[in-house]
Amino acid sequence: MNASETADTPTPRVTVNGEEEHLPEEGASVATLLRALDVDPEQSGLAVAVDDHVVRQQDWGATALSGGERIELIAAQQGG
Amino acid sequence: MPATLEDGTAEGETALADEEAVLTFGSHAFSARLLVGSGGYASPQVMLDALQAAGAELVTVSIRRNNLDADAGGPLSLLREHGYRVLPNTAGCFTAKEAVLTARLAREALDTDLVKLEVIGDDETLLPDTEQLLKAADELVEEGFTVLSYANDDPIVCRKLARVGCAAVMPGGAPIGSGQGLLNPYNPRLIREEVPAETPLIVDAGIGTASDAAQAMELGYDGLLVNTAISGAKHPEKMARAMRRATEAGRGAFEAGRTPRPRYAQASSPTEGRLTVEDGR
Repeated sequence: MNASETADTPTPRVTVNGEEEHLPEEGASVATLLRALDVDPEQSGLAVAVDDHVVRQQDWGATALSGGERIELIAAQQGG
Repeated sequence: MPATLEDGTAEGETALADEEAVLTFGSHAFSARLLVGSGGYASPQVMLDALQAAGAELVTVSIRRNNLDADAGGPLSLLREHGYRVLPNTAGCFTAKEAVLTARLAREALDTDLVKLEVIGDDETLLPDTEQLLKAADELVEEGFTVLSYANDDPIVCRKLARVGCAAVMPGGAPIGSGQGLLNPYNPRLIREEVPAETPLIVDAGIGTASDAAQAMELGYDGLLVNTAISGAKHPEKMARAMRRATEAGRGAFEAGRTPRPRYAQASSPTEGRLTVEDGR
């Protein structure tokens, strides 16, 4: 989904799990971006890396995105 | 996980004492020697039934991009609700850099320092890229991870993985998911001799049926990691129970110390005092 489909002026873009997304607002935090993507940033079992660096969950609200970042959002899946 | 065995024997009669730690990875102790993977089951309930029958305590999960359109949760909450401890893997990583990042993400998401390290060379064989594997193992150990490393059945590589501080070394008996058993039992035997006893050795990959499990354990391995042989069986729960028993039987035989293999027959009845009767020929 595109988080800023209704915005008049396109906001900066980031990639989330390889897909391009617009930030919901300039300088949006990781937590704000996740909410815009319908992901609850409070839920357990998730982890985020921004440009290959893990951002701890307690820091998601304070980590601002400026655009151009590569974000990986992961969770555990079945596997051996 | 407690399980009532099919033949009615109570839990603990055939298993090692429940509270006894038989397998230790760093600061993590387990009373079951059979580790089980969570992949490929027909349904979550089939997986839970199999895990219980296997007596599993530690269950592997993979780390993947979260599907933004799917319900959150995945297997993690289910496994933890049922009391299992989880072992995240780095399956699908081709470089040390990918594996290290995956391990760091797993630590954050799952709140565990345990990691099953896999760094593979290609998608066809899924065999390890040993150069990248050793690099990743070294880095993760330095960062304080408890590293259980999947490896080739190469005694030298396994010895190196132990030396860099892996908490367990896990050579494959055959390619992942192939169920071909120990294709070359000579190498796992050498590995047992090369890797110091304080580093647990687990056969990870290639176990296809119960006799493979027993064979591996009879070589003196400390445990097994089995996924496809259970999840891919016609009756996963039955196979899980068989694997558990075979693991315990193989270990028991190893600890008992097998009888020598003389070239010629050795009578087990006394040779003195035998009857001799002339038959007239």
